[in-house]
Amino acid sequence: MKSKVNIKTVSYYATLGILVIFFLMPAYMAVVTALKQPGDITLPTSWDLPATLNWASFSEAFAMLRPNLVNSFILTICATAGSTILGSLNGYVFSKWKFKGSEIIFTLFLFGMFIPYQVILIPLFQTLRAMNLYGGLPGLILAHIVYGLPITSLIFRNFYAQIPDSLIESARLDGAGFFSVYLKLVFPLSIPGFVVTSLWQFTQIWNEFLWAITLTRHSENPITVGLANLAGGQAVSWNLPMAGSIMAALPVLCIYIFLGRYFIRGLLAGSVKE
Amino acid sequence: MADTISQIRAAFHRKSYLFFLGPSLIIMGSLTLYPMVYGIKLSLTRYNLVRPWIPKTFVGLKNFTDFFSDEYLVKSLWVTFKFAMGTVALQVFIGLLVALVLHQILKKTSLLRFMVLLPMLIVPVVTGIIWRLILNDTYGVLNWIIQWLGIAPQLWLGPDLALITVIIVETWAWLPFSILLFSLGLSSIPEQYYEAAAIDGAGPWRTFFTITLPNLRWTLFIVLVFKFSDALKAFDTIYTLTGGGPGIATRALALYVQNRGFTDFEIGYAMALSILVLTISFIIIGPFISRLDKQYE
Amino acid sequence: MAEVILENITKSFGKTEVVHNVSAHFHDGEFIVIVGPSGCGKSTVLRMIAGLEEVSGGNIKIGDKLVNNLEPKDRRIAMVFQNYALYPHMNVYNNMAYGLRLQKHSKVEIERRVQEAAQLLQLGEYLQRRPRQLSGGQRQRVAMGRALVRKPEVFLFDEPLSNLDAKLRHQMRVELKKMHKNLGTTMIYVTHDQVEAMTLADKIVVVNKGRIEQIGSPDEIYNAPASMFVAGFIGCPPMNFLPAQHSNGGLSLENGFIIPAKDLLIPSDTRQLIVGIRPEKIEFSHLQRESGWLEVDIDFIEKLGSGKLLYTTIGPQQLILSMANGDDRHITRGWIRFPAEALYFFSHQDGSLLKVKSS
Repeated sequence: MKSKVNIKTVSYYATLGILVIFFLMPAYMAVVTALKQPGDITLPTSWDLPATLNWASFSEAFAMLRPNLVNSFILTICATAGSTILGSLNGYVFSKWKFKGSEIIFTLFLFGMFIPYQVILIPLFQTLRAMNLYGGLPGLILAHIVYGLPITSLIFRNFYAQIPDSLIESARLDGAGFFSVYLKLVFPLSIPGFVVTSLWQFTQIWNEFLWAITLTRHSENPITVGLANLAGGQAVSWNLPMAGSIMAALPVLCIYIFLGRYFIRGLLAGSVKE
Repeated sequence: MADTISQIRAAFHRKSYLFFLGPSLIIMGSLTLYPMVYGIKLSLTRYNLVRPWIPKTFVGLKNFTDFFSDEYLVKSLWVTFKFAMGTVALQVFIGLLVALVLHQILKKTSLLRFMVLLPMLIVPVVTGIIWRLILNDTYGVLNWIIQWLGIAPQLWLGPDLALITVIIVETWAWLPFSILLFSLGLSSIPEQYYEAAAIDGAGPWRTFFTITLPNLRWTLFIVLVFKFSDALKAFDTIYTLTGGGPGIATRALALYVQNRGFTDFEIGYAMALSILVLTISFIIIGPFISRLDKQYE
Repeated sequence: MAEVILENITKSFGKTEVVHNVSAHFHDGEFIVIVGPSGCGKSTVLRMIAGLEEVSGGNIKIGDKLVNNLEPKDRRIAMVFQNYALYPHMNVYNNMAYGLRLQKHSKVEIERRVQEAAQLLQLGEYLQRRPRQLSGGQRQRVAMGRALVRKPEVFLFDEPLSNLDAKLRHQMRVELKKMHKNLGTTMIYVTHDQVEAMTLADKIVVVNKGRIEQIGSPDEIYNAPASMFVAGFIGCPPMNFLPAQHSNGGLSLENGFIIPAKDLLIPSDTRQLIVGIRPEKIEFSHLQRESGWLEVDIDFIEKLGSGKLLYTTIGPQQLILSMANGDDRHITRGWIRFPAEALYFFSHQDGSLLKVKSS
């Protein structure tokens, strides 16, 4: 019995240790490299802590990536807001106001969730050009709203399925119509749903690269494209892209640090419905 | 009079869902259906953006029949297949293993949970860049480690190892997803099942195969579908890590489509390729969607 | 105050009809209980009266007004749901006031009505609490209060007590009855619990498989059930049923025993029938008796405190006897008799009550 416990404990800590190294090594490398002088980045010492802290990497990278960061914030906030709000409206209809054909529309929505981005890239590019939206942020925002809708609608539909129908009926008896049921009852109860979907959307849109590089002009490039350009040159001094990478990762990380537990809880609520 | 108003209101009421669904349907229609139709039309033409003097011509199914003589397509399909198999196997196996060992503490320790989630949150482009540094043959820490272990430094992104490296980095980036799903799946198995099995005298292996695994069927199914469909989409990490190279050693399907469309500007052919990708991914996810629907009924 | 009239109501979901041709006339101020097994369509009928489901055919009148196409809120009804359906994000006061605000009542009027209801239901100190901070019984009261403040012409209840524990259920039942006495408003109450039906109703509607089996006062339903279904559904323990052959001179049960029934005028074409008798009407003796008494083995005894139930079998049929306490000897066998005046006769084919005259 005793030896069993030991094997269990050992395997616990061994797994933990390997995981920590495997998951954290890249983060460690990024931080350490970002803080070094360009000249200090060499093979034998790449693992070491920097001799002197070179905070200048961050200010330099920030100066270079500032426009991209601004673009990314505009893009991500607008597209996240758009796709979650519309997703919530759709989820409300799909779960509480089913009509003839709503199941079919919903299934079509689901397929939309799995369309690989690159498949739609070319015609989307052409369509946005025809709509005179190619190259700027509004076009990219619109594209992200549209392709975020399936997942946000799905999450909200499952979320609203947990609100008992009798609650809606009760509000109808009280005299609330379609809109006031949403505004006064469903919306106030959806805050956890909004947390989950907006976290998901924020991460997706902030991190997205392919559309960003294809659908925007240089001046409108979001951070992912800016970073790729910064790291793309061959004679690259590694401290700058690393500092940039850390800055690019920060917004999402911060959000998860503050709201992460709601995210897990929300996922749990949606996925283990018995 | 009041009754008539109430009746009109009731009729209006029954249609008011259109106000909510309408905007989504309109923008989705204009940015998915229209591009789809347009894309299908394009796939039937020869259309090259950089040679505008060659007019856009209707070529029927030629782009599709060209698939059979396109050796690059075959190679990128093969790369995609190996990439999919490698990433799916690693992520399912390691993900399940880690979830089994750690799901109890994962539930309780938010720091560990955050650490496990970390790679998933990092911008994929950043993942590529950081790993390029780690894997760099002259500066990279990985070569430093293996030299310290007495092994000759390797060209991690060279022709022999690039695909394996790409698979490992992709696994690093998306392992959290499968760990998360598996540990959610594990915590949804009622404790009584294990207690009943213990009373029946089942050992750890038997318990795993008769209780844990069958109850993780749905989770396993989700992970498989998502991972296979992700493998078809894989772009960001490969693009920043190797750009599809060296040569075409890591040029998976997504990169090939992008190359043909935006490097060679053969829009028609690239569109036909896109339709191929879409068909493959719908074949993979079709059964999933039909079950997903039932799951939530 | 209003009467409720159902005229040939039907309801179909897709191609399946779940409510068939239901007609009923509920008078002003009556306490109506619609009772039936789960899935019999009783809730659907209630929801059609409320306007939450559309009728597929027929008419519903509340007062003298046809309400088929009226919105729920315009039908002057109030409904209490099984799970109470309290708005989780509003406190008790706002739960009750919400509907009144939508009806554009003045602030003063809303305050007056809510305070009145709160006092009646002893909710005064909980007005600022959220539903989740309340006990099951308190939530139930809030749900009642929400219906009360609307001052409806008809109250609708959809199994409102079934989420409460037994003791609380009894208490609420009494309060509900009192409330009806004070208000005098028409109430329509749906339940699967025959005890609630018997204790609450002025008029019981027994529903089975989407059809009305019988409408009547609790006494009528209990003493003159229109069918085997009603007889078996109302009463606890349920009525005993024994298949029998009718021959001149008596009714022979499956074990060969003959119930003497010379003076019963059973239509001569009926040979096979079902005999029903309530458990408390069977006479029992542990002393040996002769003619007209049947000797039985008592399989086991269920003690209820206030009385006891004896279980025996006749052929393949289980028979339950209900007895008062008193004789505490361990009974293993005894003699039973079926008094002719306590017997019911049902058709072998469709379970309907056979009209039998005793001469």
